[in-house]
Amino acid sequence: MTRQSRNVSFALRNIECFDTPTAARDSTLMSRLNLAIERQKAGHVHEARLEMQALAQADKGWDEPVFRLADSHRAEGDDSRAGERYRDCLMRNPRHHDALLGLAATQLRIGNILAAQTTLLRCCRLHRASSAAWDLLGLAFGSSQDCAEAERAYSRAQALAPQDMAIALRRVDAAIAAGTADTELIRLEQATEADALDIVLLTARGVLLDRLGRRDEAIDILEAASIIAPAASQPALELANALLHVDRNKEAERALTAAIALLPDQWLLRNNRAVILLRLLRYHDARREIEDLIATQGERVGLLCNLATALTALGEQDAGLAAATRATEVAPDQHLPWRTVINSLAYTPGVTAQAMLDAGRRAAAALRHEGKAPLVRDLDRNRRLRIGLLSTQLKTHPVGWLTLAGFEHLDPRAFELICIGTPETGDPMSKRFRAIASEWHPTPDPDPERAAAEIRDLNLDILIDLSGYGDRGLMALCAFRCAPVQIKWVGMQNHSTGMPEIDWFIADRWEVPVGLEAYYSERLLHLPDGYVCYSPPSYAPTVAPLPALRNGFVTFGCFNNLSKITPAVIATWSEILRRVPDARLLLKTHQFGDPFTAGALHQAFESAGIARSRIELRGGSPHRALLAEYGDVDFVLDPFPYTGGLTTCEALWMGVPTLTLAGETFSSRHAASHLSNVGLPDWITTDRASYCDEAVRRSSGIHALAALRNGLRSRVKDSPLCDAPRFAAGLSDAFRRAWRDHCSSHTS
Amino acid sequence: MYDEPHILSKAREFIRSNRASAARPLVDALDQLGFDPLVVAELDATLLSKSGRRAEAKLRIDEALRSAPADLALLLLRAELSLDMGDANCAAASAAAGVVASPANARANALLGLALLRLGHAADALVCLTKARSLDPAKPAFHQTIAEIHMAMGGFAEAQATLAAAVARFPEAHSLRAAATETSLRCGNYPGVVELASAACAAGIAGASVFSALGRAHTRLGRNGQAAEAFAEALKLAPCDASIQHLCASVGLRTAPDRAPPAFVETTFDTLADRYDQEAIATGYRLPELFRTHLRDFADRGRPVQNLLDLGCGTGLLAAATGPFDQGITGIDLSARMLGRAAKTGAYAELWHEDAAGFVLRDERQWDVIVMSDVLPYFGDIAAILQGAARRLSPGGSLVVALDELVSNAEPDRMAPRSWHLERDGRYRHAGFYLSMAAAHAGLQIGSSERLDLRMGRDRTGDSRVAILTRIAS
Repeated sequence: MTRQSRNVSFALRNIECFDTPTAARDSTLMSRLNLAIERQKAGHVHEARLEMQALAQADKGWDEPVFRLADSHRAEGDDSRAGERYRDCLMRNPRHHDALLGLAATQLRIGNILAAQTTLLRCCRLHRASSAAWDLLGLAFGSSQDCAEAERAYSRAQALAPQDMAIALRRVDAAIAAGTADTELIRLEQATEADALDIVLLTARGVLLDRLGRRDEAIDILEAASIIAPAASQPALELANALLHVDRNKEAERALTAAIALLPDQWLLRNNRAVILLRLLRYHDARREIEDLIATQGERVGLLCNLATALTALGEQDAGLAAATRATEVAPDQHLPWRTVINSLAYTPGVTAQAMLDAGRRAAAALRHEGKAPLVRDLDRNRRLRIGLLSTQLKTHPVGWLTLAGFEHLDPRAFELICIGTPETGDPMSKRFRAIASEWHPTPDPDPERAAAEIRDLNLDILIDLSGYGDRGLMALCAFRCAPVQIKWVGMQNHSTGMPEIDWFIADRWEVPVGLEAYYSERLLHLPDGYVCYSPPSYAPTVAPLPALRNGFVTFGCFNNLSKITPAVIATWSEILRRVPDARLLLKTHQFGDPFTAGALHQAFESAGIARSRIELRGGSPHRALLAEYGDVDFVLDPFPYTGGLTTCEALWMGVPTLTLAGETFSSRHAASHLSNVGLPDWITTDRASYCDEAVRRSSGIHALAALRNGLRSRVKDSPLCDAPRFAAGLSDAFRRAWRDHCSSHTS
Repeated sequence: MYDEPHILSKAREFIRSNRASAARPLVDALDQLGFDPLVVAELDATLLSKSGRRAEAKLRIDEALRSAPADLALLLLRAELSLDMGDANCAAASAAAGVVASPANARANALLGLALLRLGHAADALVCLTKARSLDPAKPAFHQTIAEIHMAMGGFAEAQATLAAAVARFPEAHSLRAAATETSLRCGNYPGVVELASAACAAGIAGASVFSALGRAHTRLGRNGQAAEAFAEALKLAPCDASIQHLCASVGLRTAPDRAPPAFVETTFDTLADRYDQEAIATGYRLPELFRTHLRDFADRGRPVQNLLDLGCGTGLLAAATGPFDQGITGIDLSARMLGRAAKTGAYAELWHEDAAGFVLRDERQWDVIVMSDVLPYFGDIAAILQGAARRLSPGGSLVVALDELVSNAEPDRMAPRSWHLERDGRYRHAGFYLSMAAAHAGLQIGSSERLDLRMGRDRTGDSRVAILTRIAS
């Protein structure tokens, strides 16, 4: 909800009890009116209105009963009748301040903006010292896009009510709309220098900087405001929002917690904190918060979707899918529940390619497609192309590790890269993207339609989605057709998008082999080798010797996140452990930092007959330390159906092969693609029995494992998986192919 | 109502973490609340200084010190600020007062040492920094500064040993690893660079500067493949660093630019400055001698040289080889370290820390002789700088240039000969025909030209060319 739309409801004074000067009134009448007001508050609306009407009849010169009647109708949402009553009241007392405001509010609500402006101008003339009147006038002018007038009105309102935070913030918005943000910023800077303790102005200054995209400065100012006035909720709220925009989640959580302490009844703040907890990978805490909110607030769509995310991340995939499905029942036409279903479904045991495609189509159908025809640009087949990279994750993230080297090696004379959606931070990979991008557009407008329009205005030839339906994923914008050619690549690329506006899907012959093409709504843009290019970190430790040689037993490992470890995976791994009785299993993921979560997984293995001592669970650690821990793993047991992507590449780089079970869906074949790309197709199985057999067989060949490990890093380094120039050549051909196809389809 | 100690603590925290715009409202709030004026003055001055308003910061401190002349925090702040403003005397006086006020204060001793170093008293500086280090041995910066002082005193071995010990003591300190590799590079200890950089890589804390130094060391050691790998890693860590981009171009990882970025030239010559003269003498650098001959010929034509512009003057080797001129010699160089040494020769009337190409565009004076002894090897396209220099020549004046000559192996009828080529050391070679073309384009003609071995050491023999260019008669 924007500040302006909220305004209509709270700009009016809520008079608890009748307090108009009463000199000329009979005290009995006044008592009856007060009683009627109390009745109304107690819910006896009809009786109260009858009494108010009677009082109005009894004294035809008295305005207040009519005003109360009008307020009663307005409270009920009956703007038409409320308007009539306000007019009646004004007939009796043309200067009635609250009736003028009430009438204007109803006029605004029914869209009669010009009438509202007239009413308010009259009110402001009669009550020059009424900040509420000027404030509402600002809203009325803003509604008709008279931005300069709106700003002037808010300016008057603020002068009359300098401590009113809401007015100060509305003035900021008005200044931006009027194109006078720079002037407003100077004014706020000077005012806060003159009075460093004015928290309203300091907060407004921070908010304005945030709106102008000067996020670091905004955060600095808002944090200072929060420190000076820790009891003020607005600076903490605005600070949390600004921090969220730049992914400073830990600080955002602190700020939001401070705001919640000040505003404990605002459940949305707690929901927002749950979202931050999800981003901080504190799934258990998030789940508790959301479940508590559902218990008090009921099954709201957003809460159910967040619960689904938390449950899936905690390894309760079925429960996660159930929560997401429930959300689709609560709001079948909304997009969010359906995308949540996709994100849960991809991890669910036994998921089929057809089910993923259907879910993708359903999610896409819930998006707005009304729009825009395909864009046609200069159809020169060989010209330099403007390629947009759409993602909030152009940074140290799987998107960066798996795509950046390819982009870096594209010929800049053939392709111009435009990055959209990632805030500017000091992240090292973000800097690399920044270095190759000709343009950087950090934050799309929060309104999808406006964001899509902004992207269309960039005149892109090709738009590549690198975010999918993940947290803050931007793929939904593609439904507005932002570029003539739209392609899906890495970034929650778990299967076909099902979106008609996405034309191509980057893949390879191992990810989508012959026979599975039908389960994609897009055309497949096969690259000659693997569909990604891995860029290993310079700080990776050297490959350690095979641990089985020193341990005398095999250690299986898996460093994938818990979402991928389903009950079926646990059952399969347990069978392998039973068949290799001296083997150990080392699982590592950030979720195991939470003792509750780790305990639950231990319990699951114990239920399958595997002693706790054979399962080692390790929590998160810095990246280099994580890579070093592959020194404790002989080979990886891949989870399924969602297999390891970047994790598989990292294991290979650290000399550790992965045994995978490939399925139908795209995400069930990530590891198969990477293993094939480095020449290890014999580590791919296609059913549970052969997966178990192969794990047992490999466990008995320690020396073969040692030999493979010794040469694996150089093998990977020399393979197409890490050959960025070779990969870029293939990628370049693919982009050109997609573009030429577009040209052909528009010239034939 | 206001928690002043908390506001103060957060203000200090923000200043430490360079968040001046967060600290400023807090300092203003403390001021408005009537908090301790000396503390407010210190914080205010620190913020002013960090925002580049150094003169205002100094005034603020001076004013506060008038009421509390022995306030240690203010004295040390003034010392730091004075160092930043190039006023080493004031820095020394303030730091000395700080040492008197608190003899066991490590920062006061360190600041005094830095000020003394700036004033040319390296030995005294070493004493101060050694004391600072003994007072606070856990501060890596003190170890690094001691190594710097050793370098300034010509103690290459001591500098390297100091840093090696510091790296062993603070294995996680990126800055020390970088300083150690850079120092070994400056000392010409290329195997040492490789050893240090490899250790940093193994420890997983090698930054861009370490990889860059490693690449340069590999280049010097002739290990071109390893150099390219190191430069590629450096570029990943610092993708916008112009010097690293240039080094990547020099090994074929990127398209060669038209000229070396000034930052690259500056770094290169800063690295060489400490041992430049020493190596030049040892390897028989011949340009000063040739240049003296040219000046004699110039005088023999009946027109004494009035003034001379030495573009890329370096440590002042050329000026030292010539006599004084009526209007003196003006030296231009991108390397501050080189210029520092040139200043010590006393041969220059003016020295400018500036890019040669920029200077000839900016400065409108005319010169009898302009010399570019080691400038063109940092330009691929030399047309613009020759044009600029030509415009600055007085009538009858001459331009002396030296360049690394490109000998094309291409068969003339099969491949167009190249005008210039970027080499692995980041320098450009130019074809003889290209020099003639570029000179003609600038309205110059080659008066004389000689091919010879000019460069110091390395694997370069007989591949340099010195040419004397004069204006084409109209």
